[in-house]
Amino acid sequence: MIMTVTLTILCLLLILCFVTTSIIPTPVGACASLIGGFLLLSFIYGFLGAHFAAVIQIIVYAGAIMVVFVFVVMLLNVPTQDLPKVKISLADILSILLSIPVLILVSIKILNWQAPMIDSQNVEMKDIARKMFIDYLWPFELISFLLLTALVAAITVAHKNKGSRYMLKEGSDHGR
Amino acid sequence: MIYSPYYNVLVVFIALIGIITLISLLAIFLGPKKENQAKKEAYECGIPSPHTAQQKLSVKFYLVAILFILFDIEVIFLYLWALNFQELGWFGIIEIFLFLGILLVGYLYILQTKALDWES
Amino acid sequence: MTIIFSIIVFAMVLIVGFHVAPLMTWVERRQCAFIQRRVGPNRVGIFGFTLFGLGQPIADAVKLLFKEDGNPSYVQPFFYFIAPLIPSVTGLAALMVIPFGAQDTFFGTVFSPQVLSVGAGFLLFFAMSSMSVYGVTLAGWSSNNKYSLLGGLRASAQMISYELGMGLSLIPIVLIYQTLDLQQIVYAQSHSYLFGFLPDWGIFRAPVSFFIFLITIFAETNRLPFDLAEGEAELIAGFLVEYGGMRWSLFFLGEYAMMFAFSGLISCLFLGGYSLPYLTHESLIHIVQPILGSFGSIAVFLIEFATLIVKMSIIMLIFVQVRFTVPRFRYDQLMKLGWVTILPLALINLFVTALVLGYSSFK
Repeated sequence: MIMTVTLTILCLLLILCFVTTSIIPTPVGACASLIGGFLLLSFIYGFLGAHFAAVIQIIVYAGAIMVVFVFVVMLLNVPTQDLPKVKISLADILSILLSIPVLILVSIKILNWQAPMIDSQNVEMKDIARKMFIDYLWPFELISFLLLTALVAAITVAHKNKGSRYMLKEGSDHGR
Repeated sequence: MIYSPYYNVLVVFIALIGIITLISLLAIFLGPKKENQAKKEAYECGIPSPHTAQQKLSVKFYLVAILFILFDIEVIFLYLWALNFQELGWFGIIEIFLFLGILLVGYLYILQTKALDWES
Repeated sequence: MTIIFSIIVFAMVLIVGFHVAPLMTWVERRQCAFIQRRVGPNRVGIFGFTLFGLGQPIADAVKLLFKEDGNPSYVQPFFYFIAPLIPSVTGLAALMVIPFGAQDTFFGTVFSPQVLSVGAGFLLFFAMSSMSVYGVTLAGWSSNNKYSLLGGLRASAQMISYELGMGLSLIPIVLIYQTLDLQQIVYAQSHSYLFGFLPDWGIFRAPVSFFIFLITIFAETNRLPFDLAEGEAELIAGFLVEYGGMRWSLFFLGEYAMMFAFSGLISCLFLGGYSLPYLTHESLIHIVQPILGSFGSIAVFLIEFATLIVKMSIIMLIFVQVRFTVPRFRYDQLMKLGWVTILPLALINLFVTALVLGYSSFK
């Protein structure tokens, strides 16, 4: 009972956070509400028993990937006047509100969706590790290649061209 | 009621956010309010500022953050392996050394292209 | 009953956590003075009782609370308000993961004095330190001040670089103890002996990990020698420049709370946690039970709480001692250290530990 209430409140706050992400005009505000959404999502994962997913959500997603987003937003630092203006009209709000019952009706009638039992099965991290390293070994090794590719791509994108690089090498031997 | 340790986490966070917000609001309401134009200016060594923090910033920050993501994901996988170290035995060690080896190639690439040299 | 015990432990830890910041300012100033062969603050007193200058932090706290809260125009209001909250909340929340006593039967209910014992164990610590990066970044950006933004970005880049070293250096601990649960790690440390006479503390089993972790937490909490972000002579005051009064001190509350939490983590992982060196929890209960009866478990809990606080204070003294001994790193030296020295060192440590453990446990 309390679990249902807690999860419902968390889900409603989550929807609010993600809707704010789409609506808010400033980029940092959007990033901040996205981070708030991920925190709430991590709580939901935790309540449903997925301890590993809950912690990873914060460490990797909210704590690393969103840091990149925030850094990029701050590096670009578009002044507030130049941001595109968002105007929400009555038609937009009405359409959002009307789509919710339609979505619910469609899922119940057409897709035969039933409210799942909130059954928090505690998934131990050791079981995840066992499954990953024994059953899913090949995808795991492929992930390392994926990370390597991402690394090379990031460096290629962000590297200075040799021509425009400031040649401060000689004389800048910092206190060796 | 099914007990989940995340109730503790929720209560802790709500309590902490409440207390610290209370301290902040207390600080705002307890202090004097004597405003003058000089206090409102941004503190930039007395040079009149155009009131925007726009400046050319190095792209190295972005690079540091991206590389942090990649190595953070690697660290997470290492934690998973370390938890089951005894069970996975030598086979697990070889698997993980293979994983680390490929990422080590990436790390050597970073060192070689001097992508993280902060010379500026 | 468990709920009441949890709330009591939460209140105890919260009180300790809120008192760390003022006490640490006093400790810093006194210890700095002793290192520099002078006396430090010893004048402030209540009704003429100057107890080693302990009135100083009280006076400072009251002064900061009644200072004018700066209201510079051109700041982003929402982020300017929440930026000091983030380091404080995450620092104090990280303090809640540490176990302050062994699991025992207190008045009939089995209870473990650890406020947050989630499945992920001490990974919650890394979650909190990942979130504390945002405090610095948002503070720097929301102040709408060029130097503040630059200081904030540099501080957060430094923090995320050393988070990698931090995470990597603790993997050998997980290899040795095969669990992420801090309660179990402390239990394992207190119940076995190395070479017959040394307590099986993490520092004897994984000394390189201890060394690397100690260095990385200096960088994580922006303490000297890595405090370029808040150093007095660099970039004015870095990301904090537009904050005044209590909101400024909230950043330091967060920093000291995070330092205290990391000291707690070091104590639990490397120094045996709440357990005294040659006494296990059971032997303590055995000693105390005849005298105090059913209050024995409470007495042992208080002994263990005090032991842990003593160990944490020793590490905090190391923090302060290093601050006034070592000069500050320059920013590029700092980043180079994080990526080129700490990262490979932690990886080599991991390799060697894995190979040694492999040879010794499964032939």
